Amino acid sequence: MATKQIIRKESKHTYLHLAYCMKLYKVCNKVLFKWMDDLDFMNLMNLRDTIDPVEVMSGKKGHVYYLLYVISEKLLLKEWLASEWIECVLERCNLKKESYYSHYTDVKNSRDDGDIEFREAIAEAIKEAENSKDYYE
Amino acid sequence: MDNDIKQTIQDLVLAKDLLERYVGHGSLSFDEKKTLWRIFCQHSNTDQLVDEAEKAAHNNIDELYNETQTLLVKAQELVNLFRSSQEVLSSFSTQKDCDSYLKPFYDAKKKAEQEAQEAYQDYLPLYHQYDNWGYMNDDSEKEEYEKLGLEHDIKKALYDKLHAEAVRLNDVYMAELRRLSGLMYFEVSMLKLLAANMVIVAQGILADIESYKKEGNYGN
Repeated sequence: MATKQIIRKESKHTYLHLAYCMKLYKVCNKVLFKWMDDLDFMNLMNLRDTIDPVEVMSGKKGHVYYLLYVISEKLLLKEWLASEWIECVLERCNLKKESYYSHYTDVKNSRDDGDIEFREAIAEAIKEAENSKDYYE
Repeated sequence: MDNDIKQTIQDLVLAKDLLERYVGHGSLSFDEKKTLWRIFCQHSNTDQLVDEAEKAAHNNIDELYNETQTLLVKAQELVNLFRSSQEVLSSFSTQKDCDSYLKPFYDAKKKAEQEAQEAYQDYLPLYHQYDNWGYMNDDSEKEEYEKLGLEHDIKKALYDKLHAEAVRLNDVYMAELRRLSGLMYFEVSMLKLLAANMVIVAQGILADIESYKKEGNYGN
């Protein structure tokens, strides 16, 4: 007989490693999102309730889409949840999934200076997080 | 690890002690900062903790409940410390510590590179002279040629030795740099996220145990 599961894993998953949460928060706070607490950014990335509502800055939807695209492509701890994760974050940001799927590569392919700068900032944040999350004796 | 929850509690207490000392004195040693980084890396993925809790729930659910309550308290205390001392903790940095630690390795590598370069400059004219000897001289100067060859070999051997040492010391420096790059990018606020994440996980485990017991499951 199968043993009954007592501790439910689903509600406790860490979807995005905390090092990525912290480094990406520093790039995104007050740039993509109106001011938000770092703990709320972690909650958003890990599909938990945020203390304050998440507000995307005007004209920054494309950058949010790019952020979610990059995270879902290579950073999520459970890769098979990528599309579900994206849609849950979009819902928390009050963004439409149809719009995401139409535009998520816009910033990736853009030659606009602002978009290039944003891509570089995200890449640098990911590099720093990648370095800081593994301890060496 | 015998018990992830016990170990996590110990490390949260240790992190809080160290951070309180930082708040009080404005500094921590290099090794203490490394300890904070180690605690973050070791406990940042809570999925392992949840798996451990599931096993423990089937062995001794009351003990798990008590341990998780302690975990919740300790994690909450750490979050509170960040809330009350945010400004002081924002000055926490590891960059200078890493720079100081790496400096001797960097200096040794630069000195070795300089010595190898000087040996190369000393050796280079002899190399050309020796290499071009056949074009410039005739057989009557064989003795002088052999003398030059000997001098050439000595200087080349010295250069090869110093060059190899420079390469070795560069490798040592790069290995240390790689080893510490994580600490350079580590930020103390990552521990705030860690503690807050622990609070959520601990609350979830406690709620699951309470709900399990409410359903009338008191045995193991």
